[in-house]
Amino acid sequence: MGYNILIVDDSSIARSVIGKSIKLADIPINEIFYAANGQEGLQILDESWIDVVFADINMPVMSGIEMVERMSDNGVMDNIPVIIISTEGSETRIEQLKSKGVRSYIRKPFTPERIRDTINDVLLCDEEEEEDSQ
Amino acid sequence: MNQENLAMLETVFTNCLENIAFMFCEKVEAMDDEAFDTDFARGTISFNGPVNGSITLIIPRDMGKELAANTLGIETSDPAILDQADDAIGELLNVICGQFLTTAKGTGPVFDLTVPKIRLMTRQDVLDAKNDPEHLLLRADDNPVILKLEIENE
Repeated sequence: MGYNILIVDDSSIARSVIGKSIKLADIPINEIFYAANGQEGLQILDESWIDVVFADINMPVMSGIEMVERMSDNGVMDNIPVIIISTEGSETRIEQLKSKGVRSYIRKPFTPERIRDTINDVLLCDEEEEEDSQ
Repeated sequence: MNQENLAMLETVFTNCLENIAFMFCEKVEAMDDEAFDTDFARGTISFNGPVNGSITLIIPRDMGKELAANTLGIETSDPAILDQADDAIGELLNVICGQFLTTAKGTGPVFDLTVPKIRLMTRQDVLDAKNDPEHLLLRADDNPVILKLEIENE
C-alpha cells in the first residue's frame, strides 16, 4: 500500500524540496500531487484520493488558511490529515489552525528529518485510530 | 531606522542563506560600482499585524539561479534552473520575513504576509539603493546583496 500525498505551495522550489524530503522519509508512496494554491489543492482533493495534505499558508488565488476552512466546512478534514508547512511562526496562528483541524505544523526552513518524523506521527496516529474503531 | 531591527534582519538573513542555500554572508561598508555590473532583481514582501512594514531584497539574478540550484541540489547549468531564479528569491524572502518577525516581535502576534513581488531593476536603481544609508549592504559569496527594512512608525 502506498500513500497519495498532496503538496500545496505557490513556490515550485518549495514543492520540489518538500516532495524530495517526503521521498527520503522512507514511507510507502503511491503518488505525490502538486498544487500552486488552495484552489488547485481543493480541485485535486475533489478528483483524487489523497491520504495526507501538506499546505503553505501564504499563497495567491487562495491561501492555505482559506483552503483549510473550506476543507473543514466540507467535512474533508475529518478524513484527510493536513500538515501546514509555512514560514510563519506565530503560536497564536498555529493554535487557530489546529482548532480548525490541522494536525501538525512545520516551520520553514525545515530538515528532511522533520518532514519524516511529522508524516510518520500523523500517519501512525491515523492507523491507530482506525484500529481502535474496528 | 531602528538599528536593533536592522541588526536582527542581518542576522536572520545570514542564517537563512547559510541554512537554505549554503551561502555565506557578511556585512560590508562599501562595494565598487563594478560589482553591480550585472542584472539585479528586487523582491519585496509586506507584513501586516501589530506593526506593518516590508522587507526588500536586491540581489543579482545569477545569485537567484545559484540559490535555486543550491536549494534543489542541482547544477546552475541545469536548464530547469532558468525559470526558478525569481521563485528562489521569493521563497527566500518569505522565509526571512517569517523568521525576522518572530525574532523581533515574538511568537505571539499574528502577521499576514503578502506574496513576494519580484521585478528586474535598472543599474541606476541598484546604485541608488547601494548608496542609500537606509539600506544594508552585504556580500554573499562575492555577490552584492542589498536589504531594506521598513516598519511604519518606527
